[in-house]
Amino acid sequence: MSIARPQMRGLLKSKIKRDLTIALIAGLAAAACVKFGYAERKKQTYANFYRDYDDRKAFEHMNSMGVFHATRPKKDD
Amino acid sequence: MALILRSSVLRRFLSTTCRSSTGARMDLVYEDRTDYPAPHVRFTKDAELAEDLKALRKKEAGDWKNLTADEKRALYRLAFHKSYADMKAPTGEWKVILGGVCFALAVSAGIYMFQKDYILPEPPHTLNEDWQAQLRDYMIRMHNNPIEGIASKWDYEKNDWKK
Repeated sequence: MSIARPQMRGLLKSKIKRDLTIALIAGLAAAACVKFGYAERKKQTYANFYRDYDDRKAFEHMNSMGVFHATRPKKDD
Repeated sequence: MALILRSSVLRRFLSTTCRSSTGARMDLVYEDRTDYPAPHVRFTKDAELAEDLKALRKKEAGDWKNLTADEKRALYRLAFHKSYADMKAPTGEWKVILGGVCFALAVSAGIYMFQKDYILPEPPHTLNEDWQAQLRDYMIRMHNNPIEGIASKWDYEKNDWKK
């Protein structure tokens, strides 16, 4: 009936070492997730949208549907 | 400073006034605490023991190698009420807590439903189905949030939501 001798000294130091490594790894993982899962993805979405964006065409489209107050849709007489 | 601390008057003073939060009580009552391993008071008092247990206590005063394992366990239980395993054992209190929380949530849900049916005034007219449908249509027509929002989910060629 003999168990291994438990750690008697330096408990705070070992706890700090363990908690610090876990915190560092978790922090880096969280930062990586945010950067690649959210930030880079969003940048790519914006880049894809603006790569082939014709703003004149978009304006004509919106105008044709009559949402503007300063201009009116072109009447095809 | 060390000379002052060695004086017995000061040490008696310190021992009576500067106690931990459990110190004063631990002198009077026995308490099972995981952070205070050895209370000042034994669990059972020697005067209340049966005769064979009194004999066992006398035997404890001698060499402990003469004690059997069962006697050691009996002496332990005389001195302590719960072992560390007993103190740390799960109590199942979480079921009570979970039940209480669920009950409170149910009561508040009931109150909310009653409120919604009988107490609240009419919602604003902008929350009608018609108004909301026209609002969605308006937002799509003016290309609202075309990159990530509502207009980005609309297919303008097919005139329908993107699949």
